Amino acid sequence: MAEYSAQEKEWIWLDSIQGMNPVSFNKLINYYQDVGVTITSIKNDIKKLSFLTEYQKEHLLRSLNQGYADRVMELLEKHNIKAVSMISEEYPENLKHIYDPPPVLYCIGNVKLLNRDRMLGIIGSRTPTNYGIKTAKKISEDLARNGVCVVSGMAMGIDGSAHEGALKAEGDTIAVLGSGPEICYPECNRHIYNKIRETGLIVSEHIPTVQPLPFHFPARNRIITGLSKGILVVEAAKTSGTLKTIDHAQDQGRDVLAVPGNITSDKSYTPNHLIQEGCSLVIDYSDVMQWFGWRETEGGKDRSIHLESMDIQEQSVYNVIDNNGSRFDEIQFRLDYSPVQLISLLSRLELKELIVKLPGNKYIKT
Amino acid sequence: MLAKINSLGFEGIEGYHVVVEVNIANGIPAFDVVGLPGATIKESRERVKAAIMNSKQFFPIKRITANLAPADRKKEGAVYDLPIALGVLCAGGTIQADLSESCFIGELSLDGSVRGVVGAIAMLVEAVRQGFKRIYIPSENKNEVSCVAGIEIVPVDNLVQIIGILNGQINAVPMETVEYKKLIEKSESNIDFCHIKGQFLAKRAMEIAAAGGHNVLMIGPPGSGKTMMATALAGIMPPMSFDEALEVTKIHSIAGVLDKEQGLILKRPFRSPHHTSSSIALTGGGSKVRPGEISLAHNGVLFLDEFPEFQRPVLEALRQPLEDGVITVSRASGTAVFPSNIMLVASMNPCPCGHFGSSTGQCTCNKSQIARYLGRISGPLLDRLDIHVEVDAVPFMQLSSSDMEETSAEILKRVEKAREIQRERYKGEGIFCNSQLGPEQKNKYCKIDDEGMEILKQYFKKLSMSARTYDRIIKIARTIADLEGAESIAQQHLLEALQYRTLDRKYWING
Repeated sequence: MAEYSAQEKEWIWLDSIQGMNPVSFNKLINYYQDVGVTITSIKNDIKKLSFLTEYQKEHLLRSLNQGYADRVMELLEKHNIKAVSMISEEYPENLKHIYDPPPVLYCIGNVKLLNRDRMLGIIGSRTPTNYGIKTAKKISEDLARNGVCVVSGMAMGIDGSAHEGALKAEGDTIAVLGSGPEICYPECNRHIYNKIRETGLIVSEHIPTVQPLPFHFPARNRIITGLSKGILVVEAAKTSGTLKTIDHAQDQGRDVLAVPGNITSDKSYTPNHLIQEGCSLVIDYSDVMQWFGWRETEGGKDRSIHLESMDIQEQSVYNVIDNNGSRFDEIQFRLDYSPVQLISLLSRLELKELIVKLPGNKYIKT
Repeated sequence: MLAKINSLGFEGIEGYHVVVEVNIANGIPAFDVVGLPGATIKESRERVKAAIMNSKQFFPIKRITANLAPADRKKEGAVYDLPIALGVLCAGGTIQADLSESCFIGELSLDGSVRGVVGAIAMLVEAVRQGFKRIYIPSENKNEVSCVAGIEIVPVDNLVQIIGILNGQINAVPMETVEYKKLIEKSESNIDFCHIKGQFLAKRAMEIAAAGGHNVLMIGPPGSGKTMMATALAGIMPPMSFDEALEVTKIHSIAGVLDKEQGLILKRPFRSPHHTSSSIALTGGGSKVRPGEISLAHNGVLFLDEFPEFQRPVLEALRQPLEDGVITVSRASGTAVFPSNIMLVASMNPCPCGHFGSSTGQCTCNKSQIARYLGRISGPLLDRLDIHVEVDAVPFMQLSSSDMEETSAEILKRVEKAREIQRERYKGEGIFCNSQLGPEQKNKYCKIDDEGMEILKQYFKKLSMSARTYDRIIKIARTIADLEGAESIAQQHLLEALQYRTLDRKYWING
């Protein structure tokens, strides 16, 4: 069980009260800066606390007992959650300097990751194209292999792919949730959630049992950017939720990098425009490493070994497959092999994990 | 006076012997039919009486009792009109002949003409088995029984004619049986494979399916030619053997859907019930147990378009008959066993909007919608579909390819050859094609060398496929090898087979 100091317990107690937000929380802490917040002091002063709303006061009074505080601690223990408050040494320095840092972070997993030096947020569309999924996975995987901790929001699409990439490289990754840290949302990313719990870190500013409500998500984005040195945008449409995250990043003075895309694709609108406005263009992981001045620790995955494993026939098939994927009929049209022969060759390439088959009889390079 | 007339009945698709006994006794005039007759048979008293009188024959004004033996079997249909009428006439003395080696079936019209009955062929086959010398059947049924040998078949038109024949006043003209081989024709389809450009994977999948009797699932956006592909498939199915044709005709005869002109069914059936069909319509049933679509498609193709749109219970009801090749339908009125040895061809869209992964449209569905849509088909049912193949219209190919595509006839030749190889190999095993292989037979006939095993191992590890996929892949590989005429399953056969299991791929919905 995690050990907390009396002051930390105080913070957790105060943070867990319904209706409390980071700004009011900070005012309250500042008000009692010298003496510390105690149950009796609040009871006496409640009328004087003019910066609190009636709703906040009501809930504050209701929670003014030891039983409530104990229940919160029990809940944390039950879900194996470590609460890291701002006064704790484990609280990330980067995050303290944003406008409204969360007073307490509720974490499941490896808390040490919070203070990693190399942190990069990878964000983007929830409904990306194959190109986006592939790119996010690839860059994330290579970065993770070079000791970069990938931060994202575990949403569908780019977020999920970024986490998957990092997990594939057995690297570090942090998922910032918009619900209590013990709730997996969206459910379809359960496999990612379970893996991150084990090897990475789940972070949330919400106490357990808080549901993933829509307005939580824009707020959690400020934590993604707050934790990171910078963010990498992979695919986002003109009116995407990702724009909010980019705003947060710029407000907080974080670097924004972008992966370019096809100019005819809606999903590439935002990253392409960011580049036009002067954001750094990222083609592969090394661009990110260079931008932040990080040295490569291991080097990216060497693809040439795989390429060498192909024989001449396989190579000819591999070469005609387009980067955006090619349909069976198209490949067949461009080569002289009999269709039956071609099917076998495609299977072989699939076995070597050089290509994968996508819906629509489409083959794409990995 | 007592008369005994031989007749026949049927239950399921099997006929059985029925003896119609008619007794005429003194007493208050009455006409009763006993021996568990159905409503149609009870009404036959009126038809028999009117038909005899309208044929200007003597109808005895006495106490008449007709018994249908065996008395404990419930009998249905109007088959016994003619035997009862003949019984009355024999007992009344109008007909004087030995009828012990003949049997009779037929419905009577009030004017004395003989009408066709359902299930004639099933009863006729039983008559041959029972060893009767001669059978009198309604003329309407003569086409359907034209191939049955071993019995003298006399088609009759009306009561007067049959009385004349039995009394020796008219010469009976037995039908000439037609040899099955002469009748046989290549099953033709409206659509030939040479009319479909490109789509190699889908066409090849159809060829393999036809050659090995595998069930197929086609996946593709709307308008990509799934239905066209299924229709063309009917054109590359090998012709039926006589026994198969007889069985199919029996089922259709019993269901009453047989075309009177057509006679014996020579083409493999192709049934495509609409997706609103009930499970009874598919499996069979009703108050008077009738075969369903799955039995009507016996020895042929059952095509289910818009597969996920079928109600779940309807699809689940298909599982057992698909596995066993027969379906037992039990109702209060009796139990019937219908054969259901079919090739299931199903088609579906890849997602609710239909455009997931398509080159022609943009998909608007999200992941969970797609997962829900695919989830409508249960795992066990998916397991029974050996081949999954995607169909996608590619305009690019259609425009640019000037090659002549293969015709159905060319494909059919390969299919027939492969079927022949399988028939030879499985002699004495009680199966005809690769799709029917049981686990033990699979080990015996589908040996895979070490290299092949290595490929399978890698594939399962890397693409995290389920163990149950393993069997399917091996069976498909066996058929591919047979199409090539290869003795054993080689690497390339396995590699090809791997491409026909689309839905097993984990990234189907996970991007």
